[in-house]
Amino acid sequence: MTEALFSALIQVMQFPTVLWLILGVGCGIVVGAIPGLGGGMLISLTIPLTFGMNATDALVMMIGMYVGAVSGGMVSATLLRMPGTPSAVMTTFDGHPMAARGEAGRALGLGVTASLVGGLIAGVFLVVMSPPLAKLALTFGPWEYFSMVLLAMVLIAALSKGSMAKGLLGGALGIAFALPGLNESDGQLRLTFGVDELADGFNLLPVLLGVFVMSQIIRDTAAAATRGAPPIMAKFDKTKLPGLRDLRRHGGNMFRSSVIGTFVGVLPGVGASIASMIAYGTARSFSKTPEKFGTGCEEGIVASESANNSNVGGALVPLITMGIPGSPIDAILLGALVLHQIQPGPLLFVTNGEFVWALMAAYLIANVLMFAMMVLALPALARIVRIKTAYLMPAIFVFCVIGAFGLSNRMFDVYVVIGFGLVGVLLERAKVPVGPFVIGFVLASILEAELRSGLQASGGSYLPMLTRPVSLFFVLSAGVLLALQMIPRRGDKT
Amino acid sequence: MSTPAENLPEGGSPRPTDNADLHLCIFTAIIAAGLYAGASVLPPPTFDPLGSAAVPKAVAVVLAGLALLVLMPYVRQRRQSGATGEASLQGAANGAGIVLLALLYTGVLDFRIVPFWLATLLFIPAAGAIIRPERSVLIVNLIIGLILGVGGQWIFTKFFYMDLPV
Repeated sequence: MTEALFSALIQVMQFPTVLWLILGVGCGIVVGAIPGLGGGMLISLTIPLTFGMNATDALVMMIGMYVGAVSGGMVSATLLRMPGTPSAVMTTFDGHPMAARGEAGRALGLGVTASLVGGLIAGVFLVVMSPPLAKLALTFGPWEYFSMVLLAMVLIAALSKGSMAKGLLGGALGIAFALPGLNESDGQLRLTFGVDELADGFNLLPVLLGVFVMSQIIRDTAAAATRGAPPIMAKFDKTKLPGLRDLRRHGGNMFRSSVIGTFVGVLPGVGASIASMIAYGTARSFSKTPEKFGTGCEEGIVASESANNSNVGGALVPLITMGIPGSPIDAILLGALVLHQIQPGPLLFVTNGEFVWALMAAYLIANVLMFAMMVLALPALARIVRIKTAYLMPAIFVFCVIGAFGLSNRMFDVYVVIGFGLVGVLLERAKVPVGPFVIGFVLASILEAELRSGLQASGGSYLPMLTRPVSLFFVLSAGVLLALQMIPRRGDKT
Repeated sequence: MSTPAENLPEGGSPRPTDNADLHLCIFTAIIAAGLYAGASVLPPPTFDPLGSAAVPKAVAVVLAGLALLVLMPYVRQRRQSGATGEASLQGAANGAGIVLLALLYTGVLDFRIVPFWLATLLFIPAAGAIIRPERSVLIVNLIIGLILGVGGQWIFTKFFYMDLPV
């Protein structure tokens, strides 16, 4: 394992791979820092540009973007009181009050350091946990896989924000939109309704561009009409990194929050925003001065930033070991793998071992690069976060058009982007989490293929799903989770 | 720029209307009906026990059930309050405007009415004007449109061999 990781680190550090990684982290930080743009949007827009690259360079760059985007969110959260990404919401509570009293440099320094520690701790877990998990997943048959995907879907719905019914509805809608096209098992065209272009079904990229990018363009345009005065920016001169004494003081909090973030990340579909909320709450309950949280407390920033960055590494574990996306961005990465002719799943370690280790090495190096770039570029970033929506959004749509059209040189995909943009707006307005929708769309083909294989092996009987121990465990877990959700929670509203 | 709530992919519109749930249920019902109707005309399975129609039909039933689960609290709330929220008319008009403009831009490219550079040069200032109708924004967006239009057409047709209208 050590040898494989070491050679992967050397491979990623070589030209031109390291350049792609630097570019990815840099773009991620900038996009993450601009409120309204996010990692999902950036990676979706980048996929078409990577078709000419080799798979390792493309995925390394996207992992860099993922790490950078999650970290960049803290900049506007601290300086503008507007989280650049959802995962930086908790950073706003203490980052901005610190900035308001003239400690912006220290708040950002603490946040960047906590992000680095969180990322590296998650990286260690990723390296240690992935190979044995992948080995275990290799023993799974179709029924185990089917039940696991089913459990993942229930988990995603149960742990997303809002009501479980809406989470499940989002997932089911995602599956529904993945069904049109050619059924690979019997060559039967289905649900095309006479539209020739639907013979291929809805391609993943236009769907992602629609749900993540187009819907954001529509929402921001609508919000521009009701938005008040632009936010006042806190004064910021330079980043003040924490010293050894600070690290000793916050070390326990950083480690605990990183572990929380990593394990929340492993659960499919929960997301970095919830990880940072849990870590923030835990830090508050462990704190000697819980009353200071929300008023510019250093512990709050440390907890939030350690957790959201470590969540990225945690979410990569199920993606790499089983082909199950741990977050919407992981679902996009899964799509990118497929587009680059790489079959995700437990066999990935066997068939593309070097590639997998390169991804893990890229994740570790991306965190170090993120730290260096954030420290160096924070003053410039502080200016970038003020960029106007009116300049950004129209240009972003043009890139959407080029990206979707470039996929197969047909305008149908661009109409799909606009259509799914409207679907995204509808989901958002009804408070249906978009995570389950995207993950449902990506997992639908695996779900159906495994069910089909299982039924073929058992002669049409569903019984093996309940007689095979691992499969039964997944089914029971899903059942228990559903039952627990039926118990009304305080303050739970649809 | 977006407010934090708008940035949340998990939802959280700053001014959602109470009718959003109803719209979601209607949309889901249409999708479920389409799935079921589309699956009903498929032939019975020949190569495997499942066939092509089983999964779409099952998903349609699940969707219909979930739509009902979402609809019930909505109906209860309506009965209790008897009122629905009011969306910002200006916001809705802006949203509709950008969608129509995007469709127009795509249609113009689809039917190759004008070249990509010209369509982009016209689209970007127009879209910017919907978001922020100010002269300074218009001037900057004209420059962005010119760079993206001319530069984009040159790069994507000469280097990436894309079949953009020229």
